[in-house]
Amino acid sequence: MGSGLTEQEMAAIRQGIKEKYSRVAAAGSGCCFQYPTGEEGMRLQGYPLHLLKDVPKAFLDSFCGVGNPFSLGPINEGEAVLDIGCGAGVDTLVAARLVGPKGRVVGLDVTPEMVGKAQANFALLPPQGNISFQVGEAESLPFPEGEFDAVISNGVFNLTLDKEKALKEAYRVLKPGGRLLLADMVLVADLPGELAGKVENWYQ
Amino acid sequence: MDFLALLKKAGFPSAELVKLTGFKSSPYTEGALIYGGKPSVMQDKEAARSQKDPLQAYEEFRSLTFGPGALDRKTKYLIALGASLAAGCDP
Repeated sequence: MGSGLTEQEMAAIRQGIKEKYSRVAAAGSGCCFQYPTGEEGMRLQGYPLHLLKDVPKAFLDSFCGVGNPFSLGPINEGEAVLDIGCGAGVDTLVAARLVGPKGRVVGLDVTPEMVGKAQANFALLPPQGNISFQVGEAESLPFPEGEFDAVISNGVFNLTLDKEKALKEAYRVLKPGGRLLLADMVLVADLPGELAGKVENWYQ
Repeated sequence: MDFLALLKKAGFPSAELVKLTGFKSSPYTEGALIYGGKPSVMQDKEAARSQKDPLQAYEEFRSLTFGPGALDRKTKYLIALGASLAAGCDP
């Protein structure tokens, strides 16, 4: 999309995003967000916490979603789900509980530290056969066409630099009749005019 | 271009912003729930069927052009004949 940013500014944004989420992976979600995170954030957004009673607090503490994509429609037993920008894997886990052992869920994140954190979180639980993680970008999904029944994502597309490409990729990997369930940040007020503000705001 | 327009362009015709979540990450940005469905094969076929047949559309255009108006039908046909001869067509 024509964002009016130079290559240098886009590189600065990319770098800023990677640095921020490496920091989140290391320090936990409490460090870096202006809204409730962890189990409290999940409760406020109406997550199905009854499915997660056995999950250690340390895992749920990683939650820093901006909303609840599962409130947009059902994820059914046996389905294949892709979680774009899975972060520490909380939504990936919820999806895995909903699809059950006959379904499967893939968590994808651009930050290797976050995928590491998700894997460490899942190590706190008994092994689950229906989950896998990959490092990859939303703008070029490493999956064939028509692979998933649902694509979920939480607070990620606002960070992507080429949103049109990322959305077309989500469309491509969905089966016909598939659902895109997004929780994301949208602008609700005008940004400060200068580009410096735009670059800083990108990954807030 | 706004995000919903991008979603529609990417192939999600009924994409909608369902609601805001109340989680603000800055004074300018708030969480939102957005739904997009990829049309099923059946829906794609329906959409294709509901598009007007081009030949039928041309017929409608033609009969409206030669229908009653400020000029009578004979004058319109003579103008059409003159135009096609001037353009080098064989009427």
